[in-house]
Amino acid sequence: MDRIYHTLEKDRLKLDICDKDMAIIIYLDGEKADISYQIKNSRVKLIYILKNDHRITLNEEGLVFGGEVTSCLFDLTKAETSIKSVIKIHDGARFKMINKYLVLNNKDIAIDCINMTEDTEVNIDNSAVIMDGGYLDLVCTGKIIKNAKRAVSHQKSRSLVYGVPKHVDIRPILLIEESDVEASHALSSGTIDDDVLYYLNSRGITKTDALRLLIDSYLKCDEEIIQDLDEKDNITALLKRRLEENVG
Amino acid sequence: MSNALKIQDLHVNVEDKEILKGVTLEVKEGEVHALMGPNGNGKSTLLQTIMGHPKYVVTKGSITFKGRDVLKMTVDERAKAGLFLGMQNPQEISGVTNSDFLKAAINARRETPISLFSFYKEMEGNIKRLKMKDDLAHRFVNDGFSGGEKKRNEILQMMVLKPQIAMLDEIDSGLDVDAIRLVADSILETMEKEKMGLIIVSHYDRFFSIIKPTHAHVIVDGKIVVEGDNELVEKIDTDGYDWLYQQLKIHPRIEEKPLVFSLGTCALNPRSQNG
Repeated sequence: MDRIYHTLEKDRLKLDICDKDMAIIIYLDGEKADISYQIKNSRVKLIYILKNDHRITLNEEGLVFGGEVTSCLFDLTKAETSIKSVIKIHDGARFKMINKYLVLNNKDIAIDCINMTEDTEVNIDNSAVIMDGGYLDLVCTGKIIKNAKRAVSHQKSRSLVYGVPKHVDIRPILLIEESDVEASHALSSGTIDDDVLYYLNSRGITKTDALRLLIDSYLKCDEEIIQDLDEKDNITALLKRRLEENVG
Repeated sequence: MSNALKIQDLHVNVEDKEILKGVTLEVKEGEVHALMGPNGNGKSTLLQTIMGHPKYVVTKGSITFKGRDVLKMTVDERAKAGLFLGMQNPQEISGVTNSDFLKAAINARRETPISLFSFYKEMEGNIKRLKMKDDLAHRFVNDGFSGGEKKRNEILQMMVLKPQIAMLDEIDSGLDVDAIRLVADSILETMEKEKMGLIIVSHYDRFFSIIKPTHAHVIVDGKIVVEGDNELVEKIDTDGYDWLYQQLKIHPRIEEKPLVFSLGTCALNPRSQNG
């Protein structure tokens, strides 16, 4: 698998990929990033890592034609973040989106994934941990347009609230114009369960370590996504640092 | 210094209601104590209080273990001191794998973290011993487990964590006949190897017939009303508790079951509502 690394400062990035098997790791370092891509008949992992704690606006526009694309975004920063993603899926492509948000500040996120043609597949998985004073507004829309027969659009969002957040609003939306489709959305949101904490404590795990274990379960990297990438250690270290700062 | 767990005149309230009304009990290494009695009379309350569940408030009495005041310890300190509670209803923790969970639990007891090799060797050996699924380490804690799998998982944790006193609350419920034998044998092996003391709550003679308690206690209305050995377990299995109530002129507390209301579901099929 080829790998390309980008560090975006005040930049825009345009990707045109055809018949490739590759991973693209994008470090978002600036205040604004405009990213557009067109991926044809390829197997691509797109990994976005927010790097700094200053405010950032990300606009992402994606076109996927055939093949298999996995997009993964890690926002474990203290940054005020505004993200807008519009991804259009064509020609039997399979698109998987995994997003991890540690919400320490304001996060405004709007995701639109659109099945444009028949036999396309979209799976979205959002996980967020909202810490004391955090603000999260997440609108995740799966749309299947007319004549996109046998299209699949699934999304699930789960959030854990730790402390007293300013605002939490997660809205999963499905807009379906075709009847021969498979679609679902699921949302779970809750605080840390005292009985779960007790169970972990009863095995000798301190309260702090138990909290870290629970928060980590929401935000840690999916092994299958980053198992062969060097970024695994970076992301794990960043998450560890954030948990030490915020949980103890 | 004695390794015994000593409970002295223990009184416990739950939501301002007295559930335990003066329990005294001593458990030493190598002893197997059967805790019996009708449901809702204080058996689980006693075990949860020893482990330190915040819902159970000790109003009088003491618990000491190895000479230390257990009531002054946090829950994790009690576990690290060598107490273990195999729970009646183990928690499901979606997102946390069994291996991460157990590694954290083992490392909490060590100065330096356990090596991955030693950890997986220990875990896999015990998974095999309990005839559990090979992928257990990578599955989320009790998430999607059957009742029997959850109970085996509790025993797996006990085998890996090697406590000095293990309290097992209806650990045999949800297990089929073969699994009861397997779990009971594994408990006995661990007990022998680790010189463990046991407190077991069970309603089934089949389990006790394998474990063979050295002591038996019957709790009725928050008090131990009779004590004995394995013969008492067998008598209760044959005759039930009525003879005790008559002989001692006592009445069991009737278990209060919470009222359950259904608020319906937004996923109701309108056709099924009509018909």
